[in-house]
Amino acid sequence: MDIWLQQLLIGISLGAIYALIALGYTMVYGIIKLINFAHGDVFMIGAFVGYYALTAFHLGFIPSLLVAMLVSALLGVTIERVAYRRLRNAPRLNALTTAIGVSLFIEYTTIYARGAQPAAYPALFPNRRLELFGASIKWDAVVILLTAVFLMVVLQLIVQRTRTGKAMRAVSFDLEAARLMGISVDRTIAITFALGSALGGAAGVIYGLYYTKIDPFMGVLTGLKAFVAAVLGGIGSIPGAMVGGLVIGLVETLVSAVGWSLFRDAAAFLILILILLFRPEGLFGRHAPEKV
Amino acid sequence: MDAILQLDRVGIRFGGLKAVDGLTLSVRKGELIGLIGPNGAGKTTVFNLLTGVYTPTEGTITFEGQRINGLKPHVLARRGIARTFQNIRLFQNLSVLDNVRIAYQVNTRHNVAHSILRLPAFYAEEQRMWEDSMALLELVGLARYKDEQAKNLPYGLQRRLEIARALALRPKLLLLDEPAAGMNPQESRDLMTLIADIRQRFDLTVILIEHDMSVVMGISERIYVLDHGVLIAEGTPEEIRKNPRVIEAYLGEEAS
Amino acid sequence: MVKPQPKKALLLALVIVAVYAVVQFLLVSRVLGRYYENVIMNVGINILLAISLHVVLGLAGQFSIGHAGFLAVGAYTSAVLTAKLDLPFPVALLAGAVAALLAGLLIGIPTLRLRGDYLAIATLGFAEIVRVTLLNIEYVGGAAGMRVPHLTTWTYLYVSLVVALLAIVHLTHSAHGRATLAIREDEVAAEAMGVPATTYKVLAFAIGSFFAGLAGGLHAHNFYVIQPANFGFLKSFEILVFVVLGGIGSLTGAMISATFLTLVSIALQSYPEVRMIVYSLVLVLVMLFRPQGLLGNRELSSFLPALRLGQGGSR
Repeated sequence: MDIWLQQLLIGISLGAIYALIALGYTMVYGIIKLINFAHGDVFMIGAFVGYYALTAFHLGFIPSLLVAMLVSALLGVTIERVAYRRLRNAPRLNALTTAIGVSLFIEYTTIYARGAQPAAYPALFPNRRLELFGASIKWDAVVILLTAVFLMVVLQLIVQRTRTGKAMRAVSFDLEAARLMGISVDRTIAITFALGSALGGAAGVIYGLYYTKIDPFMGVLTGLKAFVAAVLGGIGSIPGAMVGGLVIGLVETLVSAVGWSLFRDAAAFLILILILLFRPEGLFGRHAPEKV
Repeated sequence: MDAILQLDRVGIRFGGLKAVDGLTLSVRKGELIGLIGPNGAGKTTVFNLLTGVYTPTEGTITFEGQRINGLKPHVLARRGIARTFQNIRLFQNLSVLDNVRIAYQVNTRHNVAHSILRLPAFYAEEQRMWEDSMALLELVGLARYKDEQAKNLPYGLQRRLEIARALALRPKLLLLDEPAAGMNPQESRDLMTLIADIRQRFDLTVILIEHDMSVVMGISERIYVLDHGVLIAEGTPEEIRKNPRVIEAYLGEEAS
Repeated sequence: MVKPQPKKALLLALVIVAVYAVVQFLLVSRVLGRYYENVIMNVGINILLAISLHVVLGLAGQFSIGHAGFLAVGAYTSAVLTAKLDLPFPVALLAGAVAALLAGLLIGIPTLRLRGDYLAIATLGFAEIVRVTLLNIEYVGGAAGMRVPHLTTWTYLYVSLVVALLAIVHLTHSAHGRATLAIREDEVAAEAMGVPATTYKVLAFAIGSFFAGLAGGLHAHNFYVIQPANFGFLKSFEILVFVVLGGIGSLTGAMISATFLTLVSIALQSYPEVRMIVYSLVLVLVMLFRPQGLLGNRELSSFLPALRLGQGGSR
């Protein structure tokens, strides 16, 4: 029993990380119909900023997290301003290609700056554990999970209860109409990027604390899987991204637990292919037929 | 009563919205029918239903005696239903000649292997397609632009090209969606002359969506009027002109 | 008028044979040594890859960004046939290409009804599944990869390229090619004109994957070792850049940019990070400031009419 509980918690923690990253993808896609390939690398940068904050500057957990989130948000906004804004009306392939280019640029510049070797996060609360229903959980894991949940709740509040959130929803629904209603589309898009990237950066710190090892390419695979989570939940849907992340995290953990750990990575892609074939709009998405 | 096209209580629903509801109409071979109605009435939706872009959620569409519900656009094109689009959908980066030739490939018998290996069947059919396409371009007055990219043509000629392209399918039924949109009176008149001419020459049945009343009234033999997805009147141009429901539908649109 | 042009065809044939002979001579007589031979092989294989993706992306307009998956299928299939089963190289090459074609059909048929972005992700997912699967098959060496006999020669490469180019050019300037281009331009309108879109998209995918598989076979037998890591997203992306930079829709553009970028890549070999930084930066800049790439959707023959191979057809 406690093995399964253990695995469940691992799955949920992983799921929370995917969910935080997936939110960034889904919000950006929802608002400008772009798959932001560089988002996985914002996650990576967040992880490294957190790392340096913790180890080089000896900041505590929360300050490090906030710094990482801030830097990530700035990075996201900069990327949007410099690379994506011009391509808002360009053919989709151009924007996609640019996003990939930005992603590679970030990865390789990071390697150029500090080398490709991985780094190791310090443990937050070494040795403290929580006893719950017969299972022993690392206190770190609990903190991480609570942080992730807290951030997601904050996001939901922003999106549903503030004017900014309303603007975000309006722009993702109909950009031109929103502009005509006086909403500053550029500013709203920038804020969307900022929020999504901040969450991605937070996910990076959380990932570092949970899994310890971080490296410049960590964003690639994790980012891709988080994207699958966003698609699963219905791209453009915020609750969808959260649920999708959770599902992917649990499935991966399950696959690993059952002994097929070598195929763990392929699991997410198989899910992707299946969703795209049978329900491309995802769990919470709407299917929009093309207007002729 | 040899109806080439018959719609029986055809309807389509998008989510909660009924774009077309209970539509019954019939078209005899060789007729030129006008389909009019205020904006958003569902006229283009009817065309989309007729060409297989949408599948009716209710009712039956019969073409040449056969039920065509659910058949895909390219199948219907091969069966002889051709259309133009409300917003021009030419193959912008391809040449004028290519735009027309593409419709001709419907009738080719040579396959990919013939093309890649450049076997005689390829050359024979390419020649035929070239000649047929050029003849069609001559007819609509676009022959001299044959190598021009479609996107470089002036608007009026683009409309003509769309029609030529549709004709290349050698259709039995031609659906024209606002072919005169954006044209001045002279251009509209020229276009109508062209339509009358091709209809006779190719023995076509034509359904025409148009907003320009003078155009529609002048050329249609019968008219169907749609409003909010429902048929509100049918008859000759004379009858329609005097029909109070029609007037109200249009005035209602102007007032709002 | 569309008729065969025997004089032009003969001239072309002569040029083709001449180029082959000259390079072959230079290689055999060692005027061009190992290093240059390697460069030629690299460039040639990349050109083949670029034109194979051109069929899918440039002609049919389908966002296939997992092309390295087909490369991998071709590489591993042919490698297994020569290294483990001792079959002759031509057989292995063909088998690799066919295997990739089957993979293309397998992936293409279900996913080609997806729209742009979604298709892109599906193809990416497929390539990743191939890579992860290969990683876990001990028979082909898993992560360490497998050794492959060095069987690729200039002859095989050149013949493959010529066959591929002729096939693609002939296809492009034909009714089938035009139908495919029509789908790229406007799929809805193409369907309305009787073009069965899915059929042609699958055809493009099949041809594209066939030649990618062929390139895979040549690649495998040129580099002595193949590993799943060689066929990851980075490789797919490299091929994508060839086509995009050259101009989507331009065959000669893809060839030129594949040549140029391969040479740059070889020049910057010792500085892999710098190479990637420059690569990605160039890509972003081109996308921002000259998105149509080098030649847009035109061919070199637009500028040099004497080079025109096909008859009529779009540029």
